[in-house]
Amino acid sequence: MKNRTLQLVGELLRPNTSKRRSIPVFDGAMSPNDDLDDFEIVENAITEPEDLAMLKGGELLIAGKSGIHILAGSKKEILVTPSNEVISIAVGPNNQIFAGIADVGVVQIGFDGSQEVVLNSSGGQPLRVPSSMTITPEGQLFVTDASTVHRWDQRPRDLMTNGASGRLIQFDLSSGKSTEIMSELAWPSGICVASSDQLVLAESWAHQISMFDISRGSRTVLKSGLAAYPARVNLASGGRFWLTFWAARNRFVEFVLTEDEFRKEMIETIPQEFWIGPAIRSTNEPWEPMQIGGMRHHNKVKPWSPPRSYGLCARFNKNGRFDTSFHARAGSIRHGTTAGIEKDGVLYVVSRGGSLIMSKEVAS
Amino acid sequence: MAEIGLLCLGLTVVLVAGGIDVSIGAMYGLVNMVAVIMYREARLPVSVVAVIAIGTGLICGALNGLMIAYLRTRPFITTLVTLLLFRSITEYLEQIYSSKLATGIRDNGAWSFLSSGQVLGMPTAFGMYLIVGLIIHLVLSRMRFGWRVTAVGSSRTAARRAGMNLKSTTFSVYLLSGGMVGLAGLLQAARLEQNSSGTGIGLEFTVLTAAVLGGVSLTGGRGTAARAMIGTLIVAVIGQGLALKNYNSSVYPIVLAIVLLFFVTIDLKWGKNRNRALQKIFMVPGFLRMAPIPDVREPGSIWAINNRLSDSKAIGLGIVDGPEDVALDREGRLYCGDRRGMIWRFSGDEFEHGEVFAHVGGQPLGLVFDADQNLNVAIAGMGLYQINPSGEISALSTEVKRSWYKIVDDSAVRMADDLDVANDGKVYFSDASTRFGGTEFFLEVMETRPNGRLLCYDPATKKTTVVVKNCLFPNGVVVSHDQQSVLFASTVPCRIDRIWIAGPKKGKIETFMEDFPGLVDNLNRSSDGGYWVAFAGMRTPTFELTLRHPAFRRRMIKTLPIDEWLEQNLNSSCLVKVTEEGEVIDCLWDGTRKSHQVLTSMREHNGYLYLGGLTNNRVGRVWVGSGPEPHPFIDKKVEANV
Repeated sequence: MKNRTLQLVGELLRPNTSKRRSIPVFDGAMSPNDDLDDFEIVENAITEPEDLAMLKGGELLIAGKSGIHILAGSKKEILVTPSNEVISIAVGPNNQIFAGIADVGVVQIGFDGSQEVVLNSSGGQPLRVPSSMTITPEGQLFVTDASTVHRWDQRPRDLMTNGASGRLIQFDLSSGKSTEIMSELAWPSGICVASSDQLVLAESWAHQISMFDISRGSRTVLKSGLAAYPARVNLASGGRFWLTFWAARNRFVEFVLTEDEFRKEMIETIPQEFWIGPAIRSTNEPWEPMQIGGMRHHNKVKPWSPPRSYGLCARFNKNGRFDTSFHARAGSIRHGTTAGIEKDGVLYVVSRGGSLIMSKEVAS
Repeated sequence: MAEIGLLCLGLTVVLVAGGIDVSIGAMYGLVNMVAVIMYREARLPVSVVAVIAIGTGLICGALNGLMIAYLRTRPFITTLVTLLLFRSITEYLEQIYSSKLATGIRDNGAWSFLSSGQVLGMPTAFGMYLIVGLIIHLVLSRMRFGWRVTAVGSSRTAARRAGMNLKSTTFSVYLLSGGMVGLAGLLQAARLEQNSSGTGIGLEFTVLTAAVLGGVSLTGGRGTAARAMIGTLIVAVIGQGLALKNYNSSVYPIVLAIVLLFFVTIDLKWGKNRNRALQKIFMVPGFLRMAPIPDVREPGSIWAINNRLSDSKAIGLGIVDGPEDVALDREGRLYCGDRRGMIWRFSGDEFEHGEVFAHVGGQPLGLVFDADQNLNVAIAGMGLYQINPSGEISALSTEVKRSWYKIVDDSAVRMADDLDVANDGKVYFSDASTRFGGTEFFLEVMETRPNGRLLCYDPATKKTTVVVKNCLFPNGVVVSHDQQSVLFASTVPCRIDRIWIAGPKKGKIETFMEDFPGLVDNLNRSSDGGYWVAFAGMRTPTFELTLRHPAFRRRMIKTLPIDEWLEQNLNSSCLVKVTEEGEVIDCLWDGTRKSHQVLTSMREHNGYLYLGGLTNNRVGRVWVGSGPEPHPFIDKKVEANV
């Protein structure tokens, strides 16, 4: 209480030091629409897919809670079902498949279903949350370790403890040598090769995307203050990128993040699934927290209501400027959009919340 | 002190009317001089002296009033000029009479009564002051004139548009002020018999300080006699204190000046930001620790989620908006409220014919028919109303007696929520909050303090009494099957209590059921001797955590817009049946949530349950009787006569 009073006095005297208590709005190219609801459904029988990758032959690799599936046209087969959840997937220059498996690390998957762990720790720290991967044509694999403190299923806890323990690891496929090239990242969740010397990195809790220069080892922030939590980044046509957001920010959640005592008691006394915070879907459980704007009126959740979960896929260029976005607002089920990739002018988007793979033709 | 007090009362009336009078000091000196001359030099009887003295004050006041009210001059400048005028006259009189007055001594009983007699066991001057103070208080707060003065001071434009005579009101306040000065001057003359023209110099300053310090606003419209008297007391205490401490007499005005400056600043800021400040401190969230929530997800529990309400048949779909409660009349027609301030009536074997039965102006939150087929309605923000079969509306109860110790006026029935009629005709109804009305129920939930009450309207005496006070969001009300007790639900603490209205335990309150997993809304009797209980929403662990953190809720309310506030999970629908002994025997859910949420009420009628929802666009009907459903809907087209 004393702290709050001092803070208030300080803010009165020096208004510039006041914390930003509001959140950015969706505007400009990010203006809300319902376009994600109009996407065509490609696949809806895979439970909780998380990441996508494309094989050289154009087959879609779908990684998620139920393992790795290969989708070729209408043909679907399961490649492998590891005991832990597959949370990221990438394809190497020679069509090798690498999967990031929770609590295991980076695993190379053979087309016969064989699994070989290629990287399970770096710098003495186990690689427990390989949240996204990208591979250069030269055979350098970059993987983000979302947190060195919390596990994959403790994502809400990482947010609620203001976690910033993630890192970016470079792994040489030929030599097997790994180096930690960035640390103290706030839940890094997306990485993508932008050019021969550059990577695009997305951090969830920092609500920002940045460009990482490999040879210089430095990064520049492309865009900060995003209105949603970024998930994965993938290449789009024309040197642009698709960025998916797994949930939208919410003023109440940001408010709770400033309330340390309340958060502490929430973490200690309430099951994690009923915490206040972003989620990949609204579960309709009686214990799920509800905000007044999210109350149903005339049997509908209003699309503008403060969302617990959200679906959003947007495209930006190398300057961090967004030009297109597809939304699924409150009330829709196509939430928890965790990955989106483009192939031959078709955008595929994963909705983990709705257990869907959706597609739409996008103008190149 | 009494003299200053009288001047201060006079000035207060002027200030409340939006004016100012700085000539009172000089006027006071003049009256004093005139009174002394009349008494000692002219040797007039004391009663005549008194009339002349007060008359002098009145003439001076009338001069001020005339110029300010009728010639439309500025009060400050005008009274500044008359200050000089009165002062000059006093000095002139002093020059003429001072030598004559120096010798003449006169003894008179009435005169010494004024100076050293007793009224009500107090010195005459002080006793008179108290009497005048009481009169001014009554005039300002209870009489038409006082209200007009306040209205003129608050807003001249509004007062004029309301048809008040600005000129006469303004004139009379200066006249009144002059009269008070006359009385004070007379008392001063009797007390000191001093014929110096220095009497009253700088007094306007002391009096103004007293008024402002007491809380009389300089901007007009706000001020009471009590405030003036308190201010006078404080100024007198300051003066006495300084005298006792042997400070130089010139310190007094300095202290007064500082005090005046300080309080004028406060008055200005407060006058400007009063509403905002009140708004900021009005809500004081309370602390509530609830028992652990029964886990409705546990398989096999009585609460287990099912879909028995999911396939309810919709009545009035898309026509009604927010039917919080439903009722059926003797002919089986269905009535339901509407958020837009009306009551619908649906008839036909599928209730396909809808018409507006009555426009009531507020959202009906409780409907029940009495023995004469009058529809009794609890309307949010309005009170208890009755609609007879031909659709005529009359107000039964809109207020109760105000509690004498409460600052917030709790006489209005702000949030009549649910009701039931006992066989003896008494209407028991809940008033969910004495602080928030109508659509502000979220604020009441956020505050979580026992602001509500259970009321009873007696048609025999046409009076409303408070049956149970200090309830936390009382909601559903039902008279028990044996007419011996009334059950009333409290939504936020999720409990039902029973108050006995007859029999040996009459007047006793006891717990009927507590620790429900949901927010208990309306209650109704079931056909098998039990009760139906609707849950408007389900308790959530996160919301109950906020109930244990009132400061968190206060900050949330202040920082975030209402749509962002955390609430219990209202997007659910559950209905339970309990026995007379308080045991849950049945639980009906719309597990899919496709038809019902914020399920607030139900009514059992011929084996059917009719379901209302606070924000829904339909009334639902499900068959809960034994055997197959006798009249299933074949989905006739709904028509509505608006």
